[in-house]
Amino acid sequence: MTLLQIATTGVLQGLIYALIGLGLYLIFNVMRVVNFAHGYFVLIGMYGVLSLSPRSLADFAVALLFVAAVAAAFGYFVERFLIESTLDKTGHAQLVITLSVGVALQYIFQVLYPEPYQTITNPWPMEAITALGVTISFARLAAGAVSLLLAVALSWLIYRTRLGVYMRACAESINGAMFVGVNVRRVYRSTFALGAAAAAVAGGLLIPFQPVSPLYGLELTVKAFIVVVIGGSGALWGTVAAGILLGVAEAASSVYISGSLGSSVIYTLFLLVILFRPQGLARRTVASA
Amino acid sequence: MMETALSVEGFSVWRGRSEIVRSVDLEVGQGELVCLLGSNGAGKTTLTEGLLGVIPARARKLEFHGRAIAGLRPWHRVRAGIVLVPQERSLFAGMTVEENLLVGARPRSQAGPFDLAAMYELFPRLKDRAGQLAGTLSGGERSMLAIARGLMLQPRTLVLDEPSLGLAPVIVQTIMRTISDINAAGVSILLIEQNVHQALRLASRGYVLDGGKIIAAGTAESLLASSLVESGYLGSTTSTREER
Amino acid sequence: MSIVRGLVSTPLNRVNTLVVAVALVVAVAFPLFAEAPMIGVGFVALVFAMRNLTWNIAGGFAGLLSVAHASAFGIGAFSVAVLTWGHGWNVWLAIVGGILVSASIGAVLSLIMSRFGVNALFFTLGTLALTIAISGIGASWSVTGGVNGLQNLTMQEGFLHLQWFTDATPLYYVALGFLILLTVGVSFMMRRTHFGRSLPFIREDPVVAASMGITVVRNQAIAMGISMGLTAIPGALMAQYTNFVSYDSVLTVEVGVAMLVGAIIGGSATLAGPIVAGIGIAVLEELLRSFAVSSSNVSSYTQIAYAICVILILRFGGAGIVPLWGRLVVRFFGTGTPRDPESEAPSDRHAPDRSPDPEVVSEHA
Repeated sequence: MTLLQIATTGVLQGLIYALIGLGLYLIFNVMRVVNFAHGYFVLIGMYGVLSLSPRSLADFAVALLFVAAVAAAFGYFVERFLIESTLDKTGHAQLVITLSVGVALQYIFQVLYPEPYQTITNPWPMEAITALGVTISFARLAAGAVSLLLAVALSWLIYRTRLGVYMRACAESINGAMFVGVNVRRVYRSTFALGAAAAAVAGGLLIPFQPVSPLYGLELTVKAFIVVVIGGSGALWGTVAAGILLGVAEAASSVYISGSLGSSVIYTLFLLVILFRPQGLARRTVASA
Repeated sequence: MMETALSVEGFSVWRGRSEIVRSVDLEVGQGELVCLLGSNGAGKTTLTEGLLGVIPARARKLEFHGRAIAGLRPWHRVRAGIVLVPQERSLFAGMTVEENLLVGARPRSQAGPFDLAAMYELFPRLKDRAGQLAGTLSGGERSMLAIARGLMLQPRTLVLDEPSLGLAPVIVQTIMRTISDINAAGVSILLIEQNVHQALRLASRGYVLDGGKIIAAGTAESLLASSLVESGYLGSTTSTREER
Repeated sequence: MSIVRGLVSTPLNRVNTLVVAVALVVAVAFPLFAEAPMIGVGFVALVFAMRNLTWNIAGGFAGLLSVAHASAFGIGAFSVAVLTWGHGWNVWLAIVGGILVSASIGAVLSLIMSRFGVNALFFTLGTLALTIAISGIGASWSVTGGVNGLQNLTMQEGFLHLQWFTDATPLYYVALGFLILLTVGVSFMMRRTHFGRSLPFIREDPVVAASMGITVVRNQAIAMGISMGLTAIPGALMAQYTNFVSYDSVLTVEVGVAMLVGAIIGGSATLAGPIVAGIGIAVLEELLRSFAVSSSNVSSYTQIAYAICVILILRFGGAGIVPLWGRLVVRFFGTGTPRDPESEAPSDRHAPDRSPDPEVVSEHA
């Protein structure tokens, strides 16, 4: 495989990771909640589109909207009824609750979809594109492009809308937001719903070329976190860049390192990055201490 | 007897398990400028956060313009017109000065006298800095921005928590003059200060908080004359206790 | 004798002393009246209890919510599989090796994560990443048998080899012995040593703990070291029981999550909670099996059940089964002492408003 091929595949995959990571980035920065269920929100999108099994592009688009709505509703529910009341308490109850929500989802999917590694037939009009000696499946290309588009849309929402202003205010200072009359709880719920919807759409985009298994959720949670941590708390584009970086690193390691050891290398690299550059999000947590 | 803006009786506030403010009675009349004095660790900041409903508090009576606000969330209290300019300012450091001012601004239809233009007139320094990130401002500018951000919410009562803390004397003068102007525009003010003389010069009445309790109350003149002020007990800037 | 007086000083203590005594008698007598397959279930229950207990040293007492204990459990199992089954080491030596390796991994991981500050919000994430990394290594390294795992082909039996091929009873008693030893040891550590007593302070507030002169980062690392090191023991026993070890049976994240969830269901701030939950979970799985739930779904349903239990416990503010039991006993028998002033603290009172985010509030305190 050529370098260009690796780079293209990696960047496209990375854009999807970026979209997943952006959802987590919003939830973390606005609420300071570590959402361990995030990867499972992606699975809601994957299994949702899988069970709708769209045949045409129009069906696929409707299916994406549908899973986004379902995930948003689910995210809202989780925040409103499970997480919100624990925000008052010390300790990391939200962490264990979101982890448990994830575990529950994982095994529910396990029971509902016993057959592992299912996928859907390609809903996009083309199978693959070849240019400059690089062959890319169209589904992957389209998924990357749509993810990029949605990342831009999210950034528009954050910087140009009222809700976005409130979200940024909460991220900067919860007290400040409350003191200027922002209904912090409503912002939290919207943020959680939005983050979950972004994750689910990313899942829907993945399913045409990425077979799904319940175990994939946890892996995605960790990857989303890696993206957020590496991206840092400064700007949205850091998260997107980190997503692309992760995608490329993964594509490269899958070529040069055999099998499951590839992901081990990535996670070990991540631990080393934490060791040597714990900036970004880390700065916030230290500041609150 | 003037109308009461803020009326508090038997007000206690907790931080974690410790009761920091104990059964405080306090009143601010409509259009009045009242100051609350106390050294570091007296519980002043805790009291303000309790007033806004940010931390657990209990009161026999907690009324704002005759309306019980104990059951309201902080943002609803703010929308009702009780606005806090906190001691730590709580600015949105990563947003510009103008964005800071606009976060809580009401839609134009509900806007009162304090709009963006009025703020820039009141604090010309902020106009120069409009596009700059709030995190890069100097101490005086931060204090001004916090006050202006509070005013943008069209408060009926403004609670100012040590607006002059850590500022150079010249800037303190400016800020104090502005506070007086704001009060003259009809906004009731509860001014929390360690700087006893500055505060009592502006205020008509004052309370002294120590160990979470009100230990003295009265007109500004009577407080200025009292032994508490004479003895230098208040306004000591070298307190050993940390504000918690 | 202060210990005896402590055991019977309050009704709760008297009831609990009785319960523990009965539990011990039942545990010891269990293999005498149970059928052979049930002894196996008993053994598994003891292993679950043991690993929850050892997880709890870091997770419950010091508040370090780790998933990496899965690696400790797996390393314990693989140390026996590789060293004893593969290279003929004595099994006890292999267990000690497993303890040392896990302990060092735990301590180093804790030190790495402390780079995020003592208030490590990312601790769990880091442990998760490490667990997946180690699991991947286990799946692809020839020494650990890759995806095929390792089979015990040795022949020797007896206590020296910790192996009885046809009868689970001796291994059951070994597990029981370890569990009692660990319980007593952990209890001693938490009550009598300076280090042990510092852990709850670290959990409640690392910053305050540091201001009290506790070396937070060091003690966290030690707690993780001890906790992960000891978790290798149940892993090794499990390997000796199943005589087959593969990465997906002992090294997966699920194992770590099971420990975390188990300890929390039982009551993570208590000594007995994790043990009770471990035994309960094993029994629950067995019950589900006996209700003829198709075997591939048994563990799914139990996992869903635990997850829901944990969410409910955390959501509705309980502290787990054992604290709940304590309250129940006190309700029926009273405390035997004048009312504890602590229970009259404002937490029980009506507090109209709470801060939406205590961390942020304290930031400005």
